[in-house]
This record gives sequence, structure tokens and C-alpha cells, in this order.
Amino acid sequence: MNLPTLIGLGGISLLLSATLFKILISLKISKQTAYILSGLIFILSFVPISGYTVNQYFRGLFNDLSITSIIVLGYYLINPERSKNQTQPLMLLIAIVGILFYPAAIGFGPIDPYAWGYLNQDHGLFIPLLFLALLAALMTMAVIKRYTLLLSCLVFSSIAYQLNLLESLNLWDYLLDPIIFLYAIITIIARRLWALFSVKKPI
Amino acid sequence: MINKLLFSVGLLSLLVLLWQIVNQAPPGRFLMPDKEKMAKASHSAPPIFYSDFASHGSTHEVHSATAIELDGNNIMAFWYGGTREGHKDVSIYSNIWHSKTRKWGQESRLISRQSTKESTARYIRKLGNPVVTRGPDNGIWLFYVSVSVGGWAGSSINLTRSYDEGKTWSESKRLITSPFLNLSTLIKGTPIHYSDNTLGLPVYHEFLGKFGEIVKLNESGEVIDKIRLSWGKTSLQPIIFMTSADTALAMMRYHGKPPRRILTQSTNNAGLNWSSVQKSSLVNPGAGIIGLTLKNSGQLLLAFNNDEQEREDMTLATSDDNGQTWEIRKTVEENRLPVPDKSQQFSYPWLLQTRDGTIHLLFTWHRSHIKHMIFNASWLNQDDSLPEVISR
Repeated sequence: MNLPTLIGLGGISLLLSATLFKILISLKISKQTAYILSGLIFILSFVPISGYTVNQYFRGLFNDLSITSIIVLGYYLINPERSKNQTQPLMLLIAIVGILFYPAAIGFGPIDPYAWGYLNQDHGLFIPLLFLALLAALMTMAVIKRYTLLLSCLVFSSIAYQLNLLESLNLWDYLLDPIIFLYAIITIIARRLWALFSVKKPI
Repeated sequence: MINKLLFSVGLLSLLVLLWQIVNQAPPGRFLMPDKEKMAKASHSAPPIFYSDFASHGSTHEVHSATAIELDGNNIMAFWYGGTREGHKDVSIYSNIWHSKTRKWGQESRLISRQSTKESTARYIRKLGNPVVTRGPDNGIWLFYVSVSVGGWAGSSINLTRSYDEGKTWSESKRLITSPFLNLSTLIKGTPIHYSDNTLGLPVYHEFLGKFGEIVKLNESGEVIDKIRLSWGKTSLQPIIFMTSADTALAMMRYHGKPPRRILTQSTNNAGLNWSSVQKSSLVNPGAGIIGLTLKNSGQLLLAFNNDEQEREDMTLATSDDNGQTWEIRKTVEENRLPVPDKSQQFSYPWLLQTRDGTIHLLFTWHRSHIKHMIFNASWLNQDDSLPEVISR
């Protein structure tokens, strides 16, 4: 098993573990028990059942998670009472980029922004240089605002891309995936709805 | 402190990326076949035409043949076969045609759902279209479709390679070609080659829209670029005719409202940009097509169903002016059963020209067999009526 395959399967196992952990915590199960059961799921997802391991099955459905997703899942497992100051800007950025990116990337229009992620100069230097400049700007904003989680996702995705740690050679696949995009959209909508319908206490 | 360290590492990593981008080689031009290596066989040779079956009925259904030349003008063909399209027992089969004996060997199963699952470490539900080509490293590169979830819209592409002329094959690797769960990339057309040792794989998408692209791969078989040919919901299965190092004509199957015509577009900068899609004058029921630029003459050869409604014929057309005009040359198959019997269908053609100038046409014959027709340019350009098809 090569490294990209291991990271691909490990990312899916991490997703399953974190999902179970979230469910257990919401059911008021103790954190220690939740960690043990989630760890068990992580290990069991590598065990073949009827010819397939659970992570192979879900990898067939989801493909590999991005480095951003893996970092966010790890952050959530290490720090279940996650800081909103760290997660909210990241989720907002993912939602905005995803809304602009996915429709065009799956064929709604003549321009394919996914192709920009190969960072080649087949169509000139402007697009790849703009891509790098935007990443540098986001990193700068993250360090000024002390958004460590966002900064970690940007930096480790860039490094993983250079090391070809996923099967893809496209930078987008390291920065973003539909699972975290969907999660970002859901959490933002849920937060807005919560704010809208929550009853304000009288002064 | 941690943030500053991360920021420094991040900027350094972006600088390395910048250096890599600036030092990239310019994109390659189209790699045209070397005419000197071709036998001078075509127009002056006596016309030949004969036909055979590449598959021998080991599976109930077969579909989507592809083929490549081996040593000695032999050819190796691949197709998918099983109980029916989409069934879990569908596998990729192969067979070899020997030019000396003019006979096919015994077909054998090459790739299964199980072997693809093991090599790609993913759940695999079904297999689909194969496409074969000679890779930039001179190996045989066999691409094929697999689906993990849903119908063909959920397809992904896999690649396996052989460096001993098809005797043994590498483990399959998954190509990542789409940002949305890597869903919906399919193949049918013949790959093209570039002067920078990259390969262009014509692909199409069927998830939400239907449109064509070219996926570029490096010598290691890794996807390094994508070029969109069309967008929307009406074009699929692109084929490319290279007409010079910088120019090419693309054609696509049309999936829209009548009148049903083959779609066409062109490039004059080696495929970096393509003109908008237009309807050609060639009718087609929205079925698979295939094209070939003949190596000696540069004549374009197209195999397609020449009917707006049905797949009841297999027709060959040629163009001597890089696709501006087309001449219907031969109808090599047509339904001989009375209307409305539609049990005879001919579809998904594949064309190949071997080094001796011989042209091979393979296509799905009633879904039960892979038909193989062998002819040369003299026969193709011969002005006569429908040839008598000789089948084994």
C-alpha cells in the first residue's frame, strides 16, 4: 500500500471516527468512552468484511478527502469544544469558494476553474500566479487575525501538494472537497437559523 | 509563535511552487505520425477487404471495443463483456489477431471488478468502456471506466499498463479527473500524443451536464491538465483528428433536440483553445463515433451510424480537406431484417491503422459480438457499391 492510498483510506476512517464521536458526544456519552469507541471504529474500518473494508467502500463513494478536511477532523477530535474563532472563518471561506468553484468545475459554463489547480502555464502565467498570490494573501490574513486552523489548512495543503501525498496532482483536491464544503454550508445555515429563531431574553 | 512559523513555511512552499511554475517547459504541440516509418502500401496496393469476429461468444453481451497494434502488424483488442451492460459480472476481455494467419486467438478475461477493487483500494460496482493506446513510454496503456455508485454518471477512469506487449499488466491506478467526488468522467475516443511526451485522453462527463474535455497525462500516467472542449448538456464522446502539429478537428456525439448531427469544432494552437461547437452536415442518431487520420495521405476517416434515428448501419466517410467536406465511402453493415425489427444494431466503432497501412475497424455487432473488418485505403477510396461482407 503506497502513501497516497494510506492517506486516502486513513482520511475516510478519520471521517467515520469523527462522525461517531460527534454522535456519541451529542448523546451525552463520556468523552473517554467516545474516544475509545471512535478509535475502535478507526481500526475496524481497515478490517475486510465480505471482501471490502469499510473505508474502501466509503472511498469508492467519496473519493479521497482533502488535506483541509483531514486537518479539520483531527482538530475536532483533539479539541471537541472547538473555538468558533478558529472554525467560523474557515467554514465561511470554504462555503464562499465552494459556491463559486463547484458549479463551474462540474460544467456550468465554458471556464473550468478546476484546471487552474494543475498550476501549469499552458494558458500563460497569469492564472497560476494569481492562484499563488491569493493563497499568500489568505495566509497573511490568517496570520494577522490569528486564524491558526485556516493557516494550518493552507500551509499543509500546499506542502502536501508539493509532496504528492494524494493521488491527485491538482491543488484544489488538497484544499477542498465536497464533504467539507457541504459541512460548511450546513453549519453556516444552522448557525443563521439558530440566531434567527433563538428567543432573546428581555433586559 | 506557531502562527509565524507556519506562515514562514507556507510562504516558502509557495515560493517553491512559483519557481516550479516559472521553470516549466512550454506545452507540447501535436505529435504527428512519422510518415517515413509507414510502409508505402496504401493507394497503390490492390484493394483488400475482409471481416471476422474478435469475440467468440464467451459472454452474453459485449460492447465498446478498442485495439492497439503489436509487433508484426498483429493487433490486440479489448472490450467489456458480461451478462448485460452494468451487470456486476462485466469484465474487460482481450484477444489478439495474428496478421499472418488472419485469425483471432481465444479471448480471455483481463480485468474484473475484484481486481480493480484490489488495486485501487475502492469499492467497485461495475466496469465499462476501455480505451487503449501506446503510451509516451512505449508501453501499452489501457484506460477503462469503473463505477462505484449510481449509473454511468458516477464513472471514474482507471489506468493499467503493460511493458511486455500485453502479456502482463500493472496494477490499475485511479485517475483523479473531477473535483466533485471524482464523479463522472468517461472515455470512448482515441488518445492523442504531444511533442512533450504527454498524452491527451478525450473524455466526457455525464453528471448534471454532458460535455467533452481532454485530460492530459504525463509519462508517469498522472493527470497534469484538463482542457474543456464544450459545456452544457448536449455533447459527449469527443474524438480528435490531428491535421498538423498545431491544428486538429474534434467531433462529438450530439445529445440534444433534432436535427441530430455530429458536432464539430477545431483548434489552431495544438488544443490549448477550441472553437465553439457547431453541428456538421453528418447525420447521426446520437451514437458513438470514431475517427482516424490516415498516416500516409492525411485523409480523415470517420466511422459512424449514418442515420438520424437508429444504429442500424455502420458507415465510413472520408475527408480530403481536413474535415471541411465529407464523402460517404462505404456502408459496411446495415440491418437486413424487415422493419420494425431492431434486433440488428451496430455501434461503438473503433479504428486503427497498422504500420503496413492496413486499417482495422471494430464495432459492437448486435451487442453479442465484436465485429472486425480489415481493409486498406485502396479499397476505401475505390468507387464501387456495397462490398460483399465475408464473415467467418
